[in-house]
Amino acid sequence: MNALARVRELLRAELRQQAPYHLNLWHLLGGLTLFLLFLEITTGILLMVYYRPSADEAYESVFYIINDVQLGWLIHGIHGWGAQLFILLVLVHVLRVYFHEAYRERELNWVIGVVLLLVVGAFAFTGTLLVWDQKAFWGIDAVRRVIADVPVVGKAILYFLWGGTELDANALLRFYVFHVGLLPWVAIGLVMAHLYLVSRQGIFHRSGVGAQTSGQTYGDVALRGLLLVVLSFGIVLTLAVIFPVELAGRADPLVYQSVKPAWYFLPAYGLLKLVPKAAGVALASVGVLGLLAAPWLGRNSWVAWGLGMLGIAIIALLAAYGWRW
Amino acid sequence: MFLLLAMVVLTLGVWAGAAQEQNSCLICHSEIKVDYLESVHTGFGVTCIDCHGGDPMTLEMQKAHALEAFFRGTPQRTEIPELCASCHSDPVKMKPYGLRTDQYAEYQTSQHGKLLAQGDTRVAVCTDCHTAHRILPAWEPRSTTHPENISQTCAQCHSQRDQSVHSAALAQGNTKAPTCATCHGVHGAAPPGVADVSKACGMCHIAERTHFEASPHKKPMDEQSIPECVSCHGSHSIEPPDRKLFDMVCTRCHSASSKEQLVGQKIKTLLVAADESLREATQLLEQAQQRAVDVSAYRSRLIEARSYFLQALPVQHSLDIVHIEELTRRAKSIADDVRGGLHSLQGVFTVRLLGLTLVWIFLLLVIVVISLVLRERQGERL
Repeated sequence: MNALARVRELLRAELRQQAPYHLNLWHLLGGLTLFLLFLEITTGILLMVYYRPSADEAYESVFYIINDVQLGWLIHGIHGWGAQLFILLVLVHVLRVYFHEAYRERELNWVIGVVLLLVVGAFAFTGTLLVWDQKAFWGIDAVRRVIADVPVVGKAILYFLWGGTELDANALLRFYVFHVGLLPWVAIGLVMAHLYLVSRQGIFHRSGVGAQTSGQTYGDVALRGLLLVVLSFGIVLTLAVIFPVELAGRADPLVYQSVKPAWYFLPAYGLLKLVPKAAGVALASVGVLGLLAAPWLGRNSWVAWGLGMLGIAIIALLAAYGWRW
Repeated sequence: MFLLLAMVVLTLGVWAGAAQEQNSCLICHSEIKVDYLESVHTGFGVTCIDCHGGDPMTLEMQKAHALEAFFRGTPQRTEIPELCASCHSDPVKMKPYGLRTDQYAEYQTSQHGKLLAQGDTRVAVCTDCHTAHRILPAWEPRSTTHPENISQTCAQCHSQRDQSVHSAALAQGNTKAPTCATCHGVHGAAPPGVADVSKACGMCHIAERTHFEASPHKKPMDEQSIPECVSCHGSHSIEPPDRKLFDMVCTRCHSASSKEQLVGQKIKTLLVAADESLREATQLLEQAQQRAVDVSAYRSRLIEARSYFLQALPVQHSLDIVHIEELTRRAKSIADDVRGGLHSLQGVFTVRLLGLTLVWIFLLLVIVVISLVLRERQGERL
């Protein structure tokens, strides 16, 4: 038996296995984010063919991709909108796991999941600057000013991430290296660890793992997942065609522009508007630590539910404040 | 032992050198200490005694201000240019700094210099523009002679402060924009005569000057000693060029129904038509770019149209209707072509939507097939 036939046989055996009865569409969201990660990596590689990560050429190369490269506007649009849907689905997946209390007895996998959420945020953050337009430049520069005010470690962080205390060509190159050279590997490694633990520990259910079966196989579940993949691809494509990503003029360090961050960074933006910068950074860090510690903080279902609702309310209010101001 | 002796001698030598450089003037005259320390002179070893004389080594006022120490106090205004020139006109002293040495000679030919020579001490001398103690190089933004500050420096005496399009450009940080000194000269400052106005403006506006000199305006204006550029554009309150000038300034010399006024109106109509077409085409191009449409071909065409229009702008000073008409017609014709082409790009959006519809039909088919397979598998299980 050759290797291909062996893999096919293994896959077929996996797909014929009985799936737990409680497995529904909510459980497929995690798998859907995997598809979007694949979509982002694929379109990202295509964009890399024409992108130039230097302050002199970055904006022009993105402009060239959008206006002159055959279907470049579509690839760029899919990459941009795909990222937004990716972040949205990752957030919904985290909320699903939290409110289903699926982190119980799976503390390590929860921590990996939260770190993956941070990596996705880092992807979005570093990717924003690469366009090197006014919106990207002043948006990232606002974050630079916040970090510069962080006591003790602020400057060290800036030297590591920005390559200095100013936003310039060094920062652009570093962000590019993080975005395409480091974060994808970190993400792939964490996703593999995440999937390994899911397959090893099984899918959580209050009444016990795989206690009952409904006769559906993992093949059926995979087909339902495929339905969601097709649907989400259609949504991303539609958004990319109807609302192509716009550029906001070449970055000009001498012409200040006040910009609001993307929707997923609005809570952090609102927090920094509300309290002094250093305190805002400290509170955001506490929030992240709280999320990491959720399995231990929420041992009691009522406490977990209450903390979750309180967290969502605070985040929503901060986002509304950031959006309004 | 020899080494120890050498060290003592060396230390005494350094101490003695430091003592020689001591400047006790600033102990009493502390009010000018900050200004002096910021001055470019400080860095090059020019001290108080170079201008004021006196003995900087003593702390006794009488000794420091003694005539034996060649103390001359505050120089008279009439003495200042010559005093500065004692160094600044000396090629040997100025060579290490790469500075010109003809400023004093120029100053003597200026209106300021001539009036000073006649005993009028109200005119500007070196210290009025450069300050006495806080002399900064012209490239330093805080310098009174920095391009952005010159207007203010001249306005200390001259009430006609520059409020033109030029000063607005300077205020926006364009240090290449002309200042008072660009038109009036720096050390040889003098008001341009009637015949020299076009030369002053023409230093930068070369094409305008060339076309004006070939125009029917040139000869009669020279004959009647009418200043050239400033007659229409003003001198210290030059506004950005506007088509309204044709309505406002032509009638100052020509009657409203005259042939000349009609020529002006014809030029205005040609320029306005081309300008409007260009503006609309540019706006459409920007909109299309935002919608990620390939407009590279139109971009280069629009650059071509704009270059014809930019050629027409100086040519209008020649009043050569045929030439202006030719250039504006080309600019307008290309801009209209671009507008038409960009309007037709609306079709691109239709094509995109059509493509999207086809993709959705395919995706829906896939969804239907998957649903059917799922239903069949469910049926098999039951």
